[in-house]
Amino acid sequence: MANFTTAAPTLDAAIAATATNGMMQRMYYFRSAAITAATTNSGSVSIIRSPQRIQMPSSNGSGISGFIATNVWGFNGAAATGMFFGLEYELGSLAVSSNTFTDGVAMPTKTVRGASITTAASLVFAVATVAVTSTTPTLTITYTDQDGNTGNTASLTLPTSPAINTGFYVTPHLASGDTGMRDVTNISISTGTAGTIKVYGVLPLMISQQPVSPLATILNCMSAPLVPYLIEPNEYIGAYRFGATAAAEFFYGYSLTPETT
Amino acid sequence: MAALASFNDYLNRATSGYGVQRHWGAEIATATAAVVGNTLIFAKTPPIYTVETMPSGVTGFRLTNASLYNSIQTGVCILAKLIDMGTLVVGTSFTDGAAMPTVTEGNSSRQINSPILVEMTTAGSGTANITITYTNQDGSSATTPSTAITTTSAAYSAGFIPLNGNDYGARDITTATRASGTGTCTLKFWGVIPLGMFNSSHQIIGTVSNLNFLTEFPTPPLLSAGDSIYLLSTPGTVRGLKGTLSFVGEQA
Repeated sequence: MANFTTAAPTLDAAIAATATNGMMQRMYYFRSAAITAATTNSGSVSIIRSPQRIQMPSSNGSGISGFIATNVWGFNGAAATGMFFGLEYELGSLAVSSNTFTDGVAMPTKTVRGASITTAASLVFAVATVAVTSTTPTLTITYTDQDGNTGNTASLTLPTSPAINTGFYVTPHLASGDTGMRDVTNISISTGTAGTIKVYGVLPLMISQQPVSPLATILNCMSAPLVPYLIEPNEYIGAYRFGATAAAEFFYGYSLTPETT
Repeated sequence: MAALASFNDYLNRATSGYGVQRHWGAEIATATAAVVGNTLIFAKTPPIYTVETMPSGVTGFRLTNASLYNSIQTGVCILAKLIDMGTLVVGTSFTDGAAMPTVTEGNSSRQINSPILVEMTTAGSGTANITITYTNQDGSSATTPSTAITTTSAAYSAGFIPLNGNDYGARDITTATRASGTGTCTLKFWGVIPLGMFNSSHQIIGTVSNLNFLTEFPTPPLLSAGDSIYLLSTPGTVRGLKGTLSFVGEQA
């Protein structure tokens, strides 16, 4: 019987499910070169997206629908920064030289506390996955908002030629009153000759703070619960660091509890 | 009854002769240094505990609690089971070790992956770059970028080496070699299965960090006879570490 995706999960059910079916335990180490600083017109917060992201196995055993992040931890090598990782969805992609948009996926439907919801990402990032060559371009993202309204736009003025792995926080630039994105329907850029920009929506599994280095943040399901999103086969987990432009190292790990059907 | 099934089940075992408690201590007596260019310098302790032969009627040890006292305030400590994946005598030879294990997770049997931890076991001299050829998370062969080694780092110095491209884990190491330079030293490569994370940076010296696996994970990791537990701690200064590990037995 499902546990965390129901309205009334229990600790005993989680213990039994994990002991019977096996928990998933992993550690990861990623490294990224320095990035380009954000400006007030491009999200304000300098963000590195780890170029590596984890893909969950394509299937689970009989009777298992996915995993719940019940214990997660992380730290990095820079003081006065934060980091987070979460379920990451590529909502769309732009080839800068041709100004050509390629559609991605929409944010998924998830069962949370017994209710099926269409998620909307409030953590939305435009990321230079290939270094961009362009002088202070305007990036325009057309999207479906948290309520399903279509055709809204977010506009950012990017700094000149963002380095690879530079992420720009799109959420502050959503249309007035919007709090998230369900989907991206178009991306365009005013000028540029090279590079790729992808827009990612993220459902957070961990958010950390690191006023000094190193200082790990440890979140667990009992003392610091986040929304218990079911992590399903083939889904991706991405990692981000915010608050600095210097080269980044990501250290993080998790224990995932199997969710029974 | 085999698998731990509930909190009451845990209490039954802990109070009926199936509880095990082991105390441990470790010391990093020489400051450690970056081995493979990490900004954070790790020290890998010797094994703090190796699971003993199972008593009669017990099939495994469930780690239910771990505590740590750290003689320095700053730093984090990863509690982990490590897999010896091979040894490189830089400039001479590579000796293969074990692959990452196949485990049951989510009711599915599969081989897990890990970052590659590089430990200096015998310091040397000179400059050298190494490459490691490994089986990645998908089962494909890949080779790390050529990475500079600090051949003079003290023993127990450790760090994580970047993998190829967007790889995020290694299932096995097939070979390693000195790609350039003439430096020498001896390195050991480890796979990491994390058990938990201690965070001592926010505490004053003299306090003890605790991990309660029953409530925080929420299921205690299952360990078998011969499994060794280690700590990976930062930063690179001399330190003393001590603590306790508590288990209950899985019953046959």
